[in-house]
Amino acid sequence: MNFAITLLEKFSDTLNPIVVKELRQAVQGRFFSAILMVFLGVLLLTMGLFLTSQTVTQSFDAGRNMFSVLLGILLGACLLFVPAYTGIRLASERSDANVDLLFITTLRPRSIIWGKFLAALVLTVLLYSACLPFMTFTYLLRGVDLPSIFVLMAFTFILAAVGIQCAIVLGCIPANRVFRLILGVAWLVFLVVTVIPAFIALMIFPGALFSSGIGSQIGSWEFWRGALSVLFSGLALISLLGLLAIALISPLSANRALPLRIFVTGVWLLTGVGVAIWSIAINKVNPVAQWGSLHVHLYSIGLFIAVSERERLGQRLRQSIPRRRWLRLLAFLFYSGAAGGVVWSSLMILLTLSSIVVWGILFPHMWSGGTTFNDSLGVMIVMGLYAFSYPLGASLIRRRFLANRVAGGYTWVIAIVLLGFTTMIIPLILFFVSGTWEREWLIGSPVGVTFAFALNATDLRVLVFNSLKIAIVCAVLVGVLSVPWFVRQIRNFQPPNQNPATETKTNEPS
Amino acid sequence: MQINIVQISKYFGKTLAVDDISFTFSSGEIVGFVGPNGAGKTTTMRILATLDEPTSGDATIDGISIVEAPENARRLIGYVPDALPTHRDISVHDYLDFFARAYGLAGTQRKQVVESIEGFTNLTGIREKTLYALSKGMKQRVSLARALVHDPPVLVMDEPAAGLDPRARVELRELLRVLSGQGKAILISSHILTELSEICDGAVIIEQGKIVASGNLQEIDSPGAEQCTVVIRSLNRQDDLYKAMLLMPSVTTVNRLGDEIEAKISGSQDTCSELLENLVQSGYRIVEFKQRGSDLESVFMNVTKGEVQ
Repeated sequence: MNFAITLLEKFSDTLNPIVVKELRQAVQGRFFSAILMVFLGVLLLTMGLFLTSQTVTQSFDAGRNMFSVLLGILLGACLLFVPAYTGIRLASERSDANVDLLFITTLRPRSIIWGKFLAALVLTVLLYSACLPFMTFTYLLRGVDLPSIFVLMAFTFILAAVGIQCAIVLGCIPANRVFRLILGVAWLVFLVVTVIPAFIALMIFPGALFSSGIGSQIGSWEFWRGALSVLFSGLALISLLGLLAIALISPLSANRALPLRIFVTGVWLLTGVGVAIWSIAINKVNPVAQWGSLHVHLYSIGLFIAVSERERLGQRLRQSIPRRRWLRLLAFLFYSGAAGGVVWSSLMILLTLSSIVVWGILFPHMWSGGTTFNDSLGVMIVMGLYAFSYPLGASLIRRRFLANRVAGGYTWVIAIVLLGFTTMIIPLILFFVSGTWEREWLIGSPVGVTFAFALNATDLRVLVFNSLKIAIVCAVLVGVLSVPWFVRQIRNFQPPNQNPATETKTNEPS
Repeated sequence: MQINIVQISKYFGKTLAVDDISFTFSSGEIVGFVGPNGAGKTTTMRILATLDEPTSGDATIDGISIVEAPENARRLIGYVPDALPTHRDISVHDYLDFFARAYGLAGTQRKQVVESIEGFTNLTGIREKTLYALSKGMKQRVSLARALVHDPPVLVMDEPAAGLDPRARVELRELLRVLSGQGKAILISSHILTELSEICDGAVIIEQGKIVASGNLQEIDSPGAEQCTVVIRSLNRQDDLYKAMLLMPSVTTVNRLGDEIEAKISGSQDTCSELLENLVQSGYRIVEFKQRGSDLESVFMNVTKGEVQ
């Protein structure tokens, strides 16, 4: 007995303190116990109602239908309550008025974030374990095989884990109460918008999947390709969001961007190789095109974040700058800092577009269907150029005209305002002045070509060509005007004591 | 161990909350950090606790920068905030156990430390109670216990006596004396200046984000001057004593407070000693002759204007 206690205590010592604290609080608190009881009650009620209806004895699909309903309830609970519970708690712990003192312990930011994630995952497992007996019971009602039950539960579990990580990122965003409230409402709207269609999809999709049963497909390459893609995408998204949350709670003086940029570059490379193999295997360009589009969008968002990073580097970061020139150049791309971030994001967009061009040249026969290689690439180039122009333009405006009014950390807000101006205000003014609507009015915004591409518009090529001209002018203009700033930033990217004239002891808030 | 606060400034938007402040304190010292509401005390303490980053400037604890190496500095600082722990659903013991784990304590060492801290702060009897069920005084104790759990050499305490009953205040004072005796450097802010006077070795007075005075109370009260205040009580010839004191060259002011005489003497401890000797030789039956320290409350009123930002 003593041995068992000692063993348990040793195991307890190895656990992440955050997991221990969160689970203790969940067990001692009333909120999660209430959720669990309500959840079990709903499951029992649903099961009871279903079993007392006549269809259960007449239908050969009773088990499948019952399983779909239960899976919907489970997904709803796991996507709504567990992330909300985790996100709200984290947000309240990081409230600007009363930051929880766990953030000034010697716990590392990564321990805090992964601890929160693991604790929420354990709560999700608890909900799953409460639901599993009901789910397994549906097997006895016919229409569903056990592999289908377990595979779909695993799939929804990954979805729930992504939801938890999203809530953690939202909870870590440094903002005042009003902004947090807006974020919370936006998050709720997003959940309702995604959970309801997901619920409906679950009602329909498993039906089609169950007609043959997952058990019969489990030995096929198609099944494992799909399953591994979902698993890899889920893990990549969870890791990316986790690193983002870690960066958000790390000290301002830390090199917060480094792990994030290394990870994203690694994922870019791995997924690039993966989709290339996939594309060759199915002899279609779709995986590569979607990979390119996804990464261009991702780095476009990256540009908005990058311009909001700090421009003056602290002593701590500067001390870690390599002294060798080529290493320093590499560090400039990956270290925290506005200019380095802009160059890195732009370079990644450029590399993505170049990869697609090379792919198009190597395998021209793969491009078929409604859009051509040039159209697809054109839309991505327009998107990339505008993603470069808006944030960098916002950075220029802030430095030239609003330096004393808007902190560097809010440059993204100016960029969003600029984007909103060309996407909504100018077209609306033109609409009210002329009384007619022209698609050409959106050429100053990336939204125009994106919509036209999505709707497979007949005049897409003309719109892309015109947008491209405007986007090139904008990008060259802001690029040229920003050259002195880039040069200054690169010159200042030196280890301490190499450039004493420019050394400052200012810790500019980001 | 030396704690240096060097030219710290902090802006909140356009508001300058802390304006280029610098001061120093060391191990074994209790330093009072006083100022009107909104003077920048809490901001400075939060910066020192690494909860906020200064807009410019830095603070070092034995050479470790709180800006450049906050992770290392956190190991050296115990912070007692003005806000009390708000966790509703955790017991006192679990709360302290979590922070002990968070500071890397494990196994029997963690158990021993938590139990010893609970004993030291008189929390053993309520260790299984949840935090929300505690009174304000008890929450203050929990907050202090949490700050002590990793045995930090520096304690930063923001209004630890606020809302405490008289007994709890006396107990807190005793705890602080014990901690100071253990060699901890303590920076403490409070509005109860009479209490601070009794335990503080020095004070830093801040107003509108700027330091208006710092040092020991004597230095703050009469900067640059060597003077002391004595209270004298004689059993006989009290009127004569009052007149005699007025004529003495080393005495700058004399006040009569009932049967006591309060005199400000210009000079060192030797001058006070000589004065007592003269009075006894002149036939006065002196039963009380005590030196009065500077009163923090009056010092505070003298050096501050009561303006807030």
